[in-house]
Amino acid sequence: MIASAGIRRIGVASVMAALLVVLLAGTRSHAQAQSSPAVAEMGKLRLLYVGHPGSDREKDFAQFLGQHFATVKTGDLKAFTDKDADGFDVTILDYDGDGFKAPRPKVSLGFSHPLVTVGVAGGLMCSQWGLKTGYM
Amino acid sequence: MGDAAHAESLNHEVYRTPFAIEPSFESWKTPDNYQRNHLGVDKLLDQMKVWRVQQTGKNVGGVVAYSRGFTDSPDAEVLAQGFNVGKEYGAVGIGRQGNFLQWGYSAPPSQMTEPGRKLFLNCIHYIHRFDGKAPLVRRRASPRIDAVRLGAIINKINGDQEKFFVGQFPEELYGKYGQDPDGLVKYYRENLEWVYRDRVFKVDEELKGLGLDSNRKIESLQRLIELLDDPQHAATAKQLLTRYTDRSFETGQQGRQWLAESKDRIYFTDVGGYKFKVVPEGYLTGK
Repeated sequence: MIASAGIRRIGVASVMAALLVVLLAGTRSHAQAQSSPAVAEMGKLRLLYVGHPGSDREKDFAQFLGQHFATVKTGDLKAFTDKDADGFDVTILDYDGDGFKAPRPKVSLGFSHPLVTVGVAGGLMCSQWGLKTGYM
Repeated sequence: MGDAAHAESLNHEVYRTPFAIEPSFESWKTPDNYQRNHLGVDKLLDQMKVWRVQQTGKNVGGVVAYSRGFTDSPDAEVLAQGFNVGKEYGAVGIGRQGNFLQWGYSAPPSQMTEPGRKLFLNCIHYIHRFDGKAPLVRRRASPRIDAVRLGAIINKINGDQEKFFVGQFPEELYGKYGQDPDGLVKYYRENLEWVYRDRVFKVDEELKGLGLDSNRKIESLQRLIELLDDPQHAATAKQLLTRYTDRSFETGQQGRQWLAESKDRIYFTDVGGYKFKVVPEGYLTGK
């Protein structure tokens, strides 16, 4: 389980930055202009990125996500449990390096929070959970 | 899987909102593995239309999920077919099952293309909608088309080929088809609608004997329920209903009541265990 103190608040995008993204997106094309309210809605989502703390990959994701979402926090995949997703709208599970060596946390059968799994590590997690999105 | 996705899924809303995805398309040579793993009777094109999701310059590093059986339950959908050099054409690069969305590409955002980054954001936005929608099924069995796929390679297996055969197919078929992959494939292709998995891939002769043309059509389920009231076939019908549902029916009336209550929400899944299952009320609302 990730202790609350273990979740570092990083790269929390300002509302202004989110609005800037919306405005820039809105000028690019007619289709994008039509979806601007959806961009703003998306920016309100509270995200938890769970990966390898301190890694370049974590920084890469956190920086990017911070440009688009008002709330982005990070956690450690090694210690992830179901409850860590509480209070977030979407959780992202990822890891750097060899995905075959990445931690594979357990989630309960009833776990129903929105979850994005990434890459080899994500595919192997999905396999472990018996999902069709699994690698094998 | 490497950097690219096929262009087939672009009409899905995840390509439109919040950001419009406007990829640049390229034509890439069809990988040899696509031809090798292709189970259709038609030949695949030599070139395929793709777009780059990321720019690692590698043709491996990400992962795709098997497409076979992926969409046999209404909780799952393909969002992008991943261009890959290991599995089949159509394998799933980005897919969703219930509240889980797998992004099979490997690169962090700084190595994604601009359309790739937008699609990643759209996926985050999209999966939020499925809060509270846990998957309906878990992988319990290989889909029936795997009988055809595995039948084709029985004589290409390194090691004990007989052991492999009896691990996938009924032992009694070994004498006839043990050295005849083409015959085995033909047998399963011709009987595909009656295939189920009970340790190995079996053809349901009981169901065929009742004159039913498939084990996965709702009409077959209806007919089996009707046959519960037929003294001549009731025992077989009851046995088959146990095989293909998670329920036990003593009378046709019980079955008809269940059907009436859930008919519009019934689906059949190979992967979920060769069963008719019922989508919980409200599960698909808002999808």
